[in-house]
Amino acid sequence: MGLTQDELAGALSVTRQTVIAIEKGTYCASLPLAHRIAVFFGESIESIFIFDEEDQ
Amino acid sequence: MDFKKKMKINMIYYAALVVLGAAFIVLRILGYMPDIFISFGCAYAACGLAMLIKNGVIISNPEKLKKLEIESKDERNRMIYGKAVSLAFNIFIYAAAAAIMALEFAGMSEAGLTVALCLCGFVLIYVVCYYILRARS
Repeated sequence: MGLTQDELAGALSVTRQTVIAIEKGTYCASLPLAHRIAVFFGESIESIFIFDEEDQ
Repeated sequence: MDFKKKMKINMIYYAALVVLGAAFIVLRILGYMPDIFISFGCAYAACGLAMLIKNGVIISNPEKLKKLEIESKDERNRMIYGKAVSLAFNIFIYAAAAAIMALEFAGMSEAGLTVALCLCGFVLIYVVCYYILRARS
């Protein structure tokens, strides 16, 4: 897609650090943010985020 | 509320802080207040002035304003802030408990009692806040 973390962060109105933390899996996005990410990519939340019960 | 408007309102509070600080300093110089108020006055005036300048610079620069808005509204930053406050409060409780015991051993019972009363006050505020937040969410 050729999208930088900075551009994604700007589009979602979050900091780049938040995007990095979500990518690394060190931070779980809230439902509203997950929804915004899904809308941005035109996908469903389930297709972007994989829920792993063991990680919780 | 619009972030820029919020920052402008904050500038009014900071200006009020500067005026309050200046008033404390003047009243102390005139001898109407105890010595400690000159420290309060300097601290209020300096903090208020610093925040006024900072907000003024940020408001005049749209790029910086947008960056600050994102940083202040970022959910991860807010979570970190909440966790830091919570951790600081927990550490404070243990530190205050240790201070009470140390003051008691040092024979400074009155100081220990003062710290203990402050600690009780903090815990009471915590309980009240907890029930208010629980009722709201």
